[in-house]
Amino acid sequence: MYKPKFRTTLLGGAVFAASITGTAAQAQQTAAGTAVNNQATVSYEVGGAPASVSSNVASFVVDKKVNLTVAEVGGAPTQTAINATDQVTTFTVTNLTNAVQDFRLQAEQQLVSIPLLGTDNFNMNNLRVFVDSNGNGTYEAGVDTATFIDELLPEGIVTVFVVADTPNQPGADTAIVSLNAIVAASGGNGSLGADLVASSILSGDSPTTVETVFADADGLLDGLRNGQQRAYDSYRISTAVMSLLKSATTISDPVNLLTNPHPIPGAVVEYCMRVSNAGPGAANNITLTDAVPANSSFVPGSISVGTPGLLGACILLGTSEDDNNTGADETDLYGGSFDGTTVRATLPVVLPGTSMSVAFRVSVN
Amino acid sequence: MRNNPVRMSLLLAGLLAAVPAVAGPVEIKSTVLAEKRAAAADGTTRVSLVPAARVTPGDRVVFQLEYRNTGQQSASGLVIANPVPAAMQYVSPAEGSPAPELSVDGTTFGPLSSLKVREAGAVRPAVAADVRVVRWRLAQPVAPGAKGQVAFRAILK
Repeated sequence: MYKPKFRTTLLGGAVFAASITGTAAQAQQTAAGTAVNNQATVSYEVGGAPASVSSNVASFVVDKKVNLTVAEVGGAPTQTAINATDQVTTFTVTNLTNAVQDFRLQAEQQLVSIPLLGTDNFNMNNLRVFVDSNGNGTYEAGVDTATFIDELLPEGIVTVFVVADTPNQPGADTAIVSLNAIVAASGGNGSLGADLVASSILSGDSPTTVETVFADADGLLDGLRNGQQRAYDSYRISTAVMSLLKSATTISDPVNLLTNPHPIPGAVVEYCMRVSNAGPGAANNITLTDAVPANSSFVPGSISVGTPGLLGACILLGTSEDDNNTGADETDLYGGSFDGTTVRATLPVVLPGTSMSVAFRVSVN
Repeated sequence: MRNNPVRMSLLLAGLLAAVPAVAGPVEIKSTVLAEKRAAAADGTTRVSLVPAARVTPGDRVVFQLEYRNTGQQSASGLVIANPVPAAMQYVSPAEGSPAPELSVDGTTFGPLSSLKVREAGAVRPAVAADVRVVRWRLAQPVAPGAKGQVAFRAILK
């Protein structure tokens, strides 16, 4: 009769498998607005005659439990360069509410210090926020244009991009930004609903209306149970601003020798090139080239590379280089060579705020 | 989880298959309540039942059933059956209530430790989340004018 029906109805459905292993928080939550009805029956005997009766239906409406998470994607700053535009930091927003919701999004500059992200010391320009429209995790200008999250399902996750332009500012190196997501009413497809407001605890619970209960956690610059959540990410300028200063000094001439020499035919002139790195990043693998000017001849063995000198000297502490580009002298900190027309120097690294110099000599024809 | 009235009414009808649905002198009333804990004057914690408010997923409620014999004759062999609503997960009897017999399929009743569930072709012991019906069988008849109550706790999924 009814027995076989009960077994297949009650045990075959996936709903029972889901409720077995998960807690209420892990399995799908009961949707807000669901009416939960309870009715019992009692069967008994009076004077030998069987009878039964059902109770009333005791009912309540499931209220809305508002919760969300916002998380940074990647675990590291976004590397950027000065004057770069549309630089992206990536976040995810997860709807943990038992109802479909919209989310209002705010991107903000933050003057804070966070492990892994650094200490903020500049602001990005033109800060914007866009929702990933096609789920590919990559910001595409013109494609990802929505600025709020529309109709996100319970347990749904969406990727959000904070996009900004990097300024050209001395000393700038780390900019920390945050994404704040505020739970809003679902407001219909394509339009952002109003921010949710928690039902007042002063008014009694109504068994027939769906009330709103905030259940979200707190965080850095975010309050407990305020229907919002905030996460942080940063931009790191890793480029180096390089400059090159070239000067020429007459060292000696055939007539005056070393005393006030003039650049007359036969004089030896030293060319000094100073490479400076204004930061903020270190410059790696620098190669400096300079062609020997017309009407002069390279003085063999005159290349040296090193830290800049004082009081007119080109180099303070350096290495002398032979003229070929092979041998141990190429890697004893720095390298230098002459290929017949061009002097070439190699510097493995120039740290931010430091300079390196390359010198070579020619004789005036 | 959607409350499925079709499944529930089939279940109720099945349980009463052998008994005609005739109303009689016994009445039964169902209410949903929440447990409120308060410290009593003597230092113990007193649990009181208040109307359930702001129930959201993860919250616990108490379903209470009060029965009363409004007739002139004693009623015997009372069996109170309460299918657990689809959105709820059975936890335990409420404080002060006798423990019900449990069932995962509506036909076999017993303590939780005796119940088994067939899942993905294998049979495993039932857990509280598998319980679909709770039932109390009163050993004593209910005298005319007498009343009593039973209750169980459940969590909203």
